[in-house]
Amino acid sequence: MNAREDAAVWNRWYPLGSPTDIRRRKATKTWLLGHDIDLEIHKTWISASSDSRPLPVTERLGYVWTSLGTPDGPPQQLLEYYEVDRLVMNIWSTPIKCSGLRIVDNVIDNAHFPFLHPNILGDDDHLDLVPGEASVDTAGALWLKSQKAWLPLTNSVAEYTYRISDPYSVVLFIHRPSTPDRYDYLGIFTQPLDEENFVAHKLLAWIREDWMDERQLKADQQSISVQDKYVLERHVHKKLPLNGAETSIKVDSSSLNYREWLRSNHVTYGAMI
Amino acid sequence: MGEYLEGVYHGWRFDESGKVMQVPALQGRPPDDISATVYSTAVADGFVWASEQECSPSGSAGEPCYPVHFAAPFDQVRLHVDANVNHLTPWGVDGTMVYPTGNPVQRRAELSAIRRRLEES
Ligand SMILES: [Fe+2]
Repeated sequence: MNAREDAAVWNRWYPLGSPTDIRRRKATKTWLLGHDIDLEIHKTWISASSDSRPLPVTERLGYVWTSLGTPDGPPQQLLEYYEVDRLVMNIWSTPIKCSGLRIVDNVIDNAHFPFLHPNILGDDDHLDLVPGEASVDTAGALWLKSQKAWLPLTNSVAEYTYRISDPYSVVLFIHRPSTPDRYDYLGIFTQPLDEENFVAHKLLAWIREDWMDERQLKADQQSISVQDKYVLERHVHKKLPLNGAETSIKVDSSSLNYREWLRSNHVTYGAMI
Repeated sequence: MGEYLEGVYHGWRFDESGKVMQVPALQGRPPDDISATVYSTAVADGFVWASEQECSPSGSAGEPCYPVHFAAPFDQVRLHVDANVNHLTPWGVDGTMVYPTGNPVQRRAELSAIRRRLEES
């Protein structure tokens, strides 16, 4: 389908990559929602156009964002990203061969941890999950709060909250027992190239601790993402089924909530309906 | 070969009839019967072949029945997923692991060539 027919997807902001990466690669071309995007690198900013039509561009959260449509505000915000005691970085910007909706569905799903990320994000001895509460805020964002799952890395139960303000992205809040009012953040912002291909831009914004080694953190997060890439590219259906083509059960409540939220927002691009 | 088939993503286990035996997140069986479609399989040329039609794997050495819908190198149908390993496929390294075979005769020749390369490497 033509993305233009899907207002819920067309009129959104999408990241095109980190300005550092775009400059290093001297990128002149990329894709978004089935359209060619031309990039021009200037001294202090990067501009984008599609079929010679200049597009709005803004930098936020370490990425260059653009929109092919007419968004009703700036890209999504995460003010905590700018706090001075945080370590922030782009983990990677990597192409993945399936609908970008699939990675959001993957990130919010804790049931795959023991199988796909054994001994990292879950293990065989702790298969029980505590589902969180789902709610939609006044701005229309879907929140999945306080999902709990065993985390072998810390030998304790971890708590996760997810914010989905755009169909194609999700921000993960990792609860911190030592500072209950502050969180560590992971953002997965996708750049849908077309309905069955996307670039995953993965952001990390954690409160800096003495033990943290930037390169090691990056490598660890990348190897978790590689495991997810493995299953994402092996689904029978490249698009995300909103029509019951996949079997979900009650315990998959996050996935069911997300798919329901997509349906109520009339998202069809990248979905099976 | 084994008694069940386990999904790499969520660890659901399916019995020979395709029925779900166990959902780890539920710590047991799902309340309703859930079933997957079962295909006939044959092992030949180092590939596992699957078909909607009945196959007779035994004695089919090198002659899996057609039409074949999917094939996967035998040694890549594995118990544990190592996501860091690149897989050799007719479309190059690191494509999908299980792939549709399309025109069986033509595809079979490609698969045999791939098989030889796998054995040499
Ligand atoms: Fe994952």
